[in-house]
Amino acid sequence: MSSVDRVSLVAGLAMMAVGALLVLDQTDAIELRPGIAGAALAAALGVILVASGLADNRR
Amino acid sequence: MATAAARPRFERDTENAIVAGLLAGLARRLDVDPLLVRIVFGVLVLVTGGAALVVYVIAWPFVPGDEEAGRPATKTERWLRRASSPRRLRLAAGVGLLTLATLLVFRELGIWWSDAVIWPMVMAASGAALLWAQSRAMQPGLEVEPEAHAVATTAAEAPSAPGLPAPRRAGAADLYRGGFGVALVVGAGLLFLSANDALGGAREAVLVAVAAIAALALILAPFLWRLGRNLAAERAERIRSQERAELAAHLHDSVLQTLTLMQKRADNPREVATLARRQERELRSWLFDGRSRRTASLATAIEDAAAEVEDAHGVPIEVVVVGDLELDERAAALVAATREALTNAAKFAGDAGAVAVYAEMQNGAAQVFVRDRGAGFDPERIPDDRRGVRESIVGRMERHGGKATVRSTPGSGTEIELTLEAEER
Repeated sequence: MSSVDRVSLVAGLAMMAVGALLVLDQTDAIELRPGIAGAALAAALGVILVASGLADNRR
Repeated sequence: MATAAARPRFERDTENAIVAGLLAGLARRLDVDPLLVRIVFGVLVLVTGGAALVVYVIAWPFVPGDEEAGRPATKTERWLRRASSPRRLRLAAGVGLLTLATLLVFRELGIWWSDAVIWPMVMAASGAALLWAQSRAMQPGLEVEPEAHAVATTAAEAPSAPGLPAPRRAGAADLYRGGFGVALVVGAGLLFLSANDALGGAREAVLVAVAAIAALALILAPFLWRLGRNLAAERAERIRSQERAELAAHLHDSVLQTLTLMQKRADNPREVATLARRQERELRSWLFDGRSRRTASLATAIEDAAAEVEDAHGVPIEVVVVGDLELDERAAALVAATREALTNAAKFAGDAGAVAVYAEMQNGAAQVFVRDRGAGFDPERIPDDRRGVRESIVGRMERHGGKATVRSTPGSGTEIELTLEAEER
């Protein structure tokens, strides 16, 4: 069985979370203010970068 | 039966790129005209209010370029790869973004002081952290992390000699990072003044300072440029000199020792031929395979070295090894110094009985003792033309941040202590 690419997994989950927030905002389930949207995007990108850096460390 | 050609992987098409080659790579993957993909992307950017553009930028560093498939990377590609590849840079950027996200959440929740204070503080702290890291990296003695070195080394810049410490390649990337740090700190100051309506009064003073700095820069630029060039030349000469010393030490330990053995055993042609073949293999391996490292363990390497010297000289060597370390550049130097100490002991004190090696390694530090019961010698009275103890043992250890101590008195044997302290991380 091929091993899991953790960076892709983390990136996928982060993007899914951001996408879910955008969908909830579009359906008026939540009100996504620009500050929160920016924070979510920054957090998603930050998590991906940290995962990528840590993954290189394990090689 | 004809088989369908395999579709190319999705990678950035740097040859047909306008910006990063993502869309051209996607078009190649889908086997459609790149123009079509670009039109669709343009529409997507308009429809999503720019979000597609953000996705493009985010995807850029994560989609590999096709230069690995044989196409040369563009200058921009090479710069981006150099700037974005080091692991620490990605970690730092990731942590920075997470901090930014936390700050934005606090701001939204109302747990906040003032935009006019917090954002300049964040900018100044980022700039200061960048400059601090930069100054630490430029400390003499600190070597660049292997990964970064590998990134900075292009195919054209093959290692000059195997087994040598990798020189730190301070270049344009360092300059960019330093410049970015300075810009952040200065920008933070200006932002703070502007946000607090203090820039108006300070404008004239700033103009005078800028004019003075520009004039000074024009006057000093040629001297500073020359100073920088001289420092770079001096550093290159120091590296070359270190390489020469390392090369001489290796040749002394291998080729010269073998030639001495061959002279001693000139009456046995088979043994001489064996020695010559072994030396030839070792030298070829060192010259063309980078280094003759067959193991990643310091303990194993010391035991191998002892076994080789025992075989070559026919002198019993008792080895006791406690603990282990990874065989990196410094540890390899320790092994080479141990081998030289063992060779000397076998050559000059082999008749007095077994040679003893005691090695202890723990917490990243290593200590090796080589003892013999020979006639001993006065370390102060070694002739200048003898390089074994001076260069291959003491010099080599010092070049790699270690220490060698020779304890010997005529008539009571010799003990050589080799010490390698734990490396600071």
